[in-house]
Amino acid sequence: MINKKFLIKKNTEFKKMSDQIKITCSGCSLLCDDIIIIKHEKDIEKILGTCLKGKEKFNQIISKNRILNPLIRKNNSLEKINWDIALDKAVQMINNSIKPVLYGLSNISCEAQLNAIKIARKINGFIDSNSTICQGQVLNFASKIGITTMTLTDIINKSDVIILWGVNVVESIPRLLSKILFSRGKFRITGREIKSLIIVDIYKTASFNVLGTRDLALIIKPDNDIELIRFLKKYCREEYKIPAGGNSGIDKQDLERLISILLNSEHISILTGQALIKPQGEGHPMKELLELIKILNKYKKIGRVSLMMVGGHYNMVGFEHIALAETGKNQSIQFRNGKSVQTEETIISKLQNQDFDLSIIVGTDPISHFPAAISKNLSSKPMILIDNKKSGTYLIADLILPTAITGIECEGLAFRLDHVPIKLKKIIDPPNNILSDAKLLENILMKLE
Amino acid sequence: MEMILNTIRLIDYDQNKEWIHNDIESMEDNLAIGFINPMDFKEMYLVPSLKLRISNKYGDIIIKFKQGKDIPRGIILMPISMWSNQLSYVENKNIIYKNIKVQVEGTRDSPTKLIELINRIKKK
Amino acid sequence: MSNKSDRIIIKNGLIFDPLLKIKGEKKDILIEKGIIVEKFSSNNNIKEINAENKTVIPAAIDIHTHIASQQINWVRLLGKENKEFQKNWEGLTLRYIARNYISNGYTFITEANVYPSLSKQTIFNFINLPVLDKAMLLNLGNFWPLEFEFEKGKIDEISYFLSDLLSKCKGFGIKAYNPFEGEIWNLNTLRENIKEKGKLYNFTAIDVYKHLIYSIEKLDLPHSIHCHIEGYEHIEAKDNLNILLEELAKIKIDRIDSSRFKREQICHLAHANSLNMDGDNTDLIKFLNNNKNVDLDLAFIGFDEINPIITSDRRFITNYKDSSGKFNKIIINSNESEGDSYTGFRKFSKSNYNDCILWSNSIDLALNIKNKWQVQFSLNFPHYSHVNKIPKIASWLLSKEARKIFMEDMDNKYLKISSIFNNDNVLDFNDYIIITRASPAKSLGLTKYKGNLDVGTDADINILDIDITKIDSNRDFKSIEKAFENIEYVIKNGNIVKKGDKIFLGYEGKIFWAEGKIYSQEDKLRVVSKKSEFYQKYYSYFYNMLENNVNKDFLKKII
Repeated sequence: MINKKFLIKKNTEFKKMSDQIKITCSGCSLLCDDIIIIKHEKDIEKILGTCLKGKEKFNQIISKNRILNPLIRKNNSLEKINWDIALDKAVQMINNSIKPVLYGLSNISCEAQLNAIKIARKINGFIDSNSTICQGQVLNFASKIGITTMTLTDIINKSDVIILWGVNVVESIPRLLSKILFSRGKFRITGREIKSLIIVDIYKTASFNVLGTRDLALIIKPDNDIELIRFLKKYCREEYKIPAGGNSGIDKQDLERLISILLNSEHISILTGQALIKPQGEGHPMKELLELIKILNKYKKIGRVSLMMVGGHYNMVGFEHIALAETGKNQSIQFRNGKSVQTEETIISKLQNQDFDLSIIVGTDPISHFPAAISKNLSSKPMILIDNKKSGTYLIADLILPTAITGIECEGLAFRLDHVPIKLKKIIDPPNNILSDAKLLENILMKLE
Repeated sequence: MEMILNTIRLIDYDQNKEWIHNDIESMEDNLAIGFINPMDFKEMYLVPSLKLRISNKYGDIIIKFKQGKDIPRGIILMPISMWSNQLSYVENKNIIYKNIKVQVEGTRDSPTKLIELINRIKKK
Repeated sequence: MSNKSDRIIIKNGLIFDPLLKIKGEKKDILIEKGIIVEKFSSNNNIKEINAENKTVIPAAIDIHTHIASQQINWVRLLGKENKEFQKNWEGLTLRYIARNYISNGYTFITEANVYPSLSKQTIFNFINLPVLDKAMLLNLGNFWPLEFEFEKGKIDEISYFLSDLLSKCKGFGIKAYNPFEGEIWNLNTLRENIKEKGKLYNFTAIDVYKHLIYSIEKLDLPHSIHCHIEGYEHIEAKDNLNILLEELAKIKIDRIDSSRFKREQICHLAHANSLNMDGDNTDLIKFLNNNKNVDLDLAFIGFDEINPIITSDRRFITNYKDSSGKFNKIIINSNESEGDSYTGFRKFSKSNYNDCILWSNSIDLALNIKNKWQVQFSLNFPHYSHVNKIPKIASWLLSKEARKIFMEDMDNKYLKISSIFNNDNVLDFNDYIIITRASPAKSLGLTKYKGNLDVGTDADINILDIDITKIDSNRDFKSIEKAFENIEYVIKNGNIVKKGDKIFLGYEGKIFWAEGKIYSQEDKLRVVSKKSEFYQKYYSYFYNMLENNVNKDFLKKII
């Protein structure tokens, strides 16, 4: 089915053009659409143009840790079962549950996300995505104070300043800088020469290695982002002197440069990550940053400042959009009587308070990602896992349903990190005729009905 | 010594990659690891053969470590993993992955095994 | 739940069908396989609906609404904790939108502001928006891939590319929104008028309108260009409107098909109530009364408890920020350099002079434009009004009594200058059916399918529990309101989707799209290949990524 040699095969002669397919990579939220696949009959012969993360994604096809059959845990070991039994078991577990939670959903297509929401509605469950502990929090602040945001094409063609604030994109979204910084844009014809990079972080990450002489490296004291942002807010609004000792570990000279760039640049794109989501002292740096952007855009005579949150999972943004259109909420949705109701709960509080009696985990690995205390609670109740590879959660789950890899073995819609919808193609057939997430969830939904 | 733990994503020490391709040994090798400044290394009288015991009120782990001159004093970096998540915690419904206060000391014990972490989670 | 019979006969209803010039005639309507037929192919399984003493009209069509785009999601996000929004709009979910549109007699709606880069999201939402047929207009105001063609006036190239873009995105028509306003990124920089030459581009906004019009007419798309006038809701719009009208007066297009079923306009003005903020619509009305090549929609203000702001107009949002003196909660989103979208909330008030002008302009235009086929009812939903205000709005048009009662507590300054208060003119019921049903169908180029009850058209029908021929609509406006508040039957392609107070959502509508008439496939390929290079050079994705592969069952191609 899959030519296992494709990963190591070198100097393969190019097949005729018809064997080459341009596809979109679902290795991370950048969704690069310039990946070339050379196919030979039904196999992938060669993959060109991916980064390390993308390569990993394609390696999943033949990974030894791939799940290829439905599995059930009996006496602490996993047993293979057939699909009919597996689906019956899933439905039985769901029907036995009064307070089910669904979680994950960031590594599946929008079609699958929609079906998961429909299941949650059907079983009056609680559904939440990874974005609750990540990018979604920025949207929650945006819903309270507004936001100015942009997309990649804007950065490529307009940005003269790119600020990476608490995000190490070189390791999390490896090709992002080659797209937005090392590229020529319509209004930035000389490319990198005319684009400045500013990095704010608590240590010298791998991303600092791309800094040039015109760029600015700002090492900030841990948990001091909020203080720096507050300082900038004040400075932009009124006559304000920069203290001789600088601010938040950044010296006066660097601060002067930062302020001058913020006020005089034509198109500033701020990219932020997980670092600004954590509360600092009494406040939230992300909230203050959104306010700073608002102030800058109000007072700036030229240009504009926009923000983009850099999330990792390839379709985390998709869940927000599908959930908003279906339920009016972007995350943490509780259904009662088939309707979404107001709730203060999130997946974290639900698990923390053990306010659930079944978890359905889709395309994610909470056991490895949550604090141990939360994972412990999660593992104390029955769990269904829908995923295509082994994980910490796989070692705990009671019922495991494998699915095809979206963007390789099945198609689907996904939203790039900048909220632009991108289509993922099917390239090869999945092994063992396993179904896509969307189809599997649809089958469960139909069985529930 | 009291230090600040930051859990981060690193392409060479990536939990997801380990789960996709590698075995448990490789996972323990690449994820039960931390990075500290050489000055902190000296201050704690460490030798390369030692391991680090990191603890706070939420949990404790033993990991290998490497030195990196770009890491600021007083900070320990770890790839996000089941190991680092023994020390992360929840505050007002937020998971705290960054700037976590921890106690760090040298130890001759061997790094915490994956199976032990799983057993901790499974323990009723 | 579905409520489908193979055949339906609606017996003895009083038919109003302006396109077929039927005004209140008693007639049976036969429906088979979702369309209106002259006679049934078989006498089996016929459902009979007795419409004796009831009024039978085509289903309503919305020519300008915002129901399926990324921007609506920003509204939902901003409103997720807003109690007033949740109470009055219930989160504005797709099902809520479908339910409310059906409830008010609609079967076709036009999403009027979609950036090509985001069209996949609209299509995804369309597929999940039950029952209704829908179409989207691509916003090409700032469409920078066509910069060179706009500068040189290359109509052929523009039309070939538009055609391909429409067929890739499955778009229906073209919206022109503040052409190339986006060339300046600063949110506080506003241009004087649309005659001003670009700073980065070597042409004016008016050039873009003009070239798009010629291109659309060359393709003979079902709908004309759909124009947003820059600076709407501000006095600057008047100037821009006049500049555009002056240009439109010069444009002459020869039509081959001049039947009354074919659209006559070459330019549609969106929410025309917002263009003359001095309250003086004389010039616009005079222009329409003398020129058949322009039509407009009215966009009534419903004075809801709260209204989402859905706009891409920079002057609007800049002033919105300033007026309150503090930083308002808005989401500003630049979309792949194709333009901005701005989202927020506001409340219209009868004691606000400007809001009253916006309200009265709609009525002024509806009453005083002679040819009602140049007028279409709209709400700019949800920007100006909720659809559930339609029965009330109908009463303002059909009854001067209703209007007067409503106006009593309006702003004094407005009442002093209002020409509406003492205007005794009203629309008759037939006029109302024209502007809500027949005229939108004609303007959108859909008369073959929608907006009338001719044999062969889609069986999209409303049955009102009222004998309109026996009503003095001026005095009995309450009973008309009541009939519209609870439309007895809404039928969509032969499916009963509303009966009494029950609504059935278990039926899929179609996505209408068009690519126009192409004279040379070879030339089209040449242009598309050139434009693909532009995408490769400047966009974050390849041109082919725009392709929307939609299941054929969901699609309906018009031209």
